[in-house]
Amino acid sequence: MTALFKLSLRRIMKQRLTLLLMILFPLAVLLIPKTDGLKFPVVSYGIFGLVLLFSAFLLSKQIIEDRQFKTIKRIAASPVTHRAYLLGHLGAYFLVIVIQISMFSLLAVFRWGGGSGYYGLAFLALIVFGIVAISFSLFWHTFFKTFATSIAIFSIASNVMALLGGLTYPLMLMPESIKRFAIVLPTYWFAYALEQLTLDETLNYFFALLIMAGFAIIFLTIGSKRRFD
Amino acid sequence: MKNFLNENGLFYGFLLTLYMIILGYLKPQEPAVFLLWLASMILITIRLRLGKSLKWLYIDVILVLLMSVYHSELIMLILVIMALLTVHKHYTSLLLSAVVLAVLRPVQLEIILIILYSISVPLLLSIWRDEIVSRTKMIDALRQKTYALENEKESLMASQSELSRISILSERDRIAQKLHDDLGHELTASLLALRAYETIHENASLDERFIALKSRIESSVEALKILLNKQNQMNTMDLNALKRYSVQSKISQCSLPIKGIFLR
Repeated sequence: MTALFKLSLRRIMKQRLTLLLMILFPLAVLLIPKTDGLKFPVVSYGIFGLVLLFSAFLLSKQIIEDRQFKTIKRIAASPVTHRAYLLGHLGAYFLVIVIQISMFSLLAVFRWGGGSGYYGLAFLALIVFGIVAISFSLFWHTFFKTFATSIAIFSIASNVMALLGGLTYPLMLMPESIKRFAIVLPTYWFAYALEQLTLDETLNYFFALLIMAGFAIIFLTIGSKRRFD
Repeated sequence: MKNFLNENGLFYGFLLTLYMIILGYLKPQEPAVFLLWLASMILITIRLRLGKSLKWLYIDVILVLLMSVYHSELIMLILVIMALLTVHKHYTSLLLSAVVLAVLRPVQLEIILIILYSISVPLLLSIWRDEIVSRTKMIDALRQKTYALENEKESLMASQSELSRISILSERDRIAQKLHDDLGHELTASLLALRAYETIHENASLDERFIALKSRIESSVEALKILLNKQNQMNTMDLNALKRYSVQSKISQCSLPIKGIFLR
C-alpha cells in the first residue's frame, strides 16, 4: 500500500496544471471580502468547498484513467489487492487535499482574522468535506468510461450542486422550497455546518459533520466496487 | 451508463426513489432525523454492496423500530426492508413487517400508495429476474445440448470415415485376391503351357510370333506380381520395407537414412 501511495503521489506531482490550480483558486477565494454582519466568512469558505470538489475530482482523474487505458487490468493481474490500490490512491489524494485545506485555513486566519475557534471548527468541516469530495469523485467516476465525459458532466453537476447546496451564498437566503430538495446534497450540509458555526449551534454543526461522513460512506461503498470496463 | 440498465441497477434506482419518497414524507426539520434516515440508507447500501441483502435483516428492523421511538414517521423506513423481502420472496417476513407498520402507523391513502409502490416494483423486478435466470438456464442447456450433438456428429463422421476406409481396403483385398486367384492362375498356366510347348517343339523358339506371345505373357505375369506386391505393401509396410522400397523403386528412387533405435 505504501508503494502505491508513493506512486500515486508521484503521479499527482506530474499533474502540474492541477497543482497550480489547486494553489491559485484558494488564493483567489481569499480575495473575497467578508460579508458584513457575519462573524465568519461563510461565502468564501463555501466557494472554497466548490474548489475542493474540483480539486478532488481532478486528483482522482488517475483512477478513471487507469480504467480507461486498461491499466487496472494489469494491476488486477499483479499481486496487489483492490483495497490496497484504493487505499493507496485515496490516501494520497487526502494528503494533498489536507495540505490545500491547511494552507487555505492558515491564510484565512491572517486574511479575515477573528476568533480562532471558528477557524478550527471550519478546518474540521473542510477536512470532512474533503473526504466527501474525494469519495464523491470516486463514486462519480464509476458511472463513466472516459475522463472527458466524466468532467464534462461533472462541471455542470458540481455547479448545480454548489448552487442548490448553498455554497455560493449564505444559506439563510435559500428559500424553504429549495431547502426541502437540497438536503439530499452533501454540499448543503457543508454550507449548513458553516452556517451553524456562525450561529454558535455546535450540536447541529456536529450533526452536519456526521451527515457528511455518512454521505462519504455511501459514496465510498458504491464507488469502491472494482470495474474493468 | 448502459451497464447499469439491468435488474440490479433498476432495483438500486427503485430503492433510491423509495428513500426519496420517504424523505419527502418525513420533511425533516432537524438534522438528527435526516441523520437517522441516512443511517438506514448506509446500512442498506453496505448490505447490497456486500451481497448480503437478507443476512441479519432483523437488526435493521430493530434499528428502524428504535428510530421510530425518536421520530414516529421514521417507521416508514421499514418499507425499504419490505422491498428487500419482496425481491427475495420472503413473504412471511413481509407480512410481519406490514403488520408492524400497520400497528405503528395509522393507515392513510398515501401510505397505502407508498406501500403498494414499495411492494409492486420489487415484485415485478423479481419476476423479471426469475425470467432472466430461467432463460439463461435454458440457453445454457441448449448450448450444452448443441455441444453434445456436435461431438456426437464428429464421432459419427470419424467412424464413418473409418468404415469407408475399411471397406475400401477390404474391396482392394478382394480384387487383389480375385486377380491372384483367377487372372494370375490363368496367366501362369498359359506361361507354363507355352514353356511346355517350347520344350516339345524345338523350332518354336525360332518363331517370332511365338517369342512375342511368350514375352507378352511373361511381362503380364510380372506386371501382375508387381501389382499384387504393391497392394500388400500398402497395407503392411514397416520402416525397413519403406527404406527398401525407396531404394529399389524404379519410379521414385531416393535415400531414406534411419537413425536411432526403433521399437526395440
